[in-house]
Amino acid sequence: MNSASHSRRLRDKIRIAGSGLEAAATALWTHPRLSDIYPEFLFRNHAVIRASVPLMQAAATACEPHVTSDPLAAGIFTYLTRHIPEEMHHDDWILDDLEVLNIPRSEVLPRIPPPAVAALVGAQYYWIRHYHPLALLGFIAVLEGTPPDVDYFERLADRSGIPREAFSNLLRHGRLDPRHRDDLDRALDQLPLSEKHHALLGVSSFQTVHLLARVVEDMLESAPKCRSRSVEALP
Amino acid sequence: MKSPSTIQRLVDAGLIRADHKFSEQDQQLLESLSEDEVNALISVKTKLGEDFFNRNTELAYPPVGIVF
Repeated sequence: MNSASHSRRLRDKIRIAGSGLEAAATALWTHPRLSDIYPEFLFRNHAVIRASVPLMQAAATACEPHVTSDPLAAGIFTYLTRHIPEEMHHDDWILDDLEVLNIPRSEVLPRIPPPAVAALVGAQYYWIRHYHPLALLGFIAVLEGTPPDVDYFERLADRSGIPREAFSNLLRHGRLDPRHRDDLDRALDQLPLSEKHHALLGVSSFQTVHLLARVVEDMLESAPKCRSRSVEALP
Repeated sequence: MKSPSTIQRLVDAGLIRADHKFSEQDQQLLESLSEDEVNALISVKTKLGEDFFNRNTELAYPPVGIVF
């Protein structure tokens, strides 16, 4: 029997799988033409984040009929219904950032989202609708588990020549997500999780790490190549 | 015995180096993975990097920055 808390067990598993995601992140943020690819990054982030609230609503809807008979469903439902208002309209922050870069909403919203994003988000709809909405908490744990470092991204903006105003989404999440991460951990620790539930959280989080890395890797593979010096890695 | 087979499966799948010496903590973490979780790691070909095995703290930054 594992004596670690539910949240600690999940966080440890995410760390297992995290190196690929870290490699993608490093390749992104030290890219020699970061200012050229940053708008595409924002577009992809928007494609993901526009699904945050709808995903949570789908999971809450799946839980709601069972809240009086299933303590797990009740716990997930409580967490989601508290968290949904906190995540509303964050997609607008990215659209604002894109407008700072002279890319209007009218250009962003009609674009077909990348298949890698559809796979990342779509997988969660599968888990919610065809297995158990608990899986979504593995997804959220990955996406909110490593809050953007505010100081790092402020300095990166200055070095890359991208206006800080175009980093508002990352900087705001850098301030909000530590609390959101802790809220999720507290919610996980109060859920009546079996070993099978832990396995589902692990599978969902591993898949999320993999597909999230693909969202970035796909973008970098199609990014313009150049031989110039990369943006200096920040400590 | 589950733990050697879990680690061996991950080695065979190329996700960890065969000569890596695991700490007791690392071993326990790997042993705690279910069959489904091991299968998922293999399915998505998730490399279990040296970084993971050499640290006990949170993920190194910069994070990928795609937020929820």
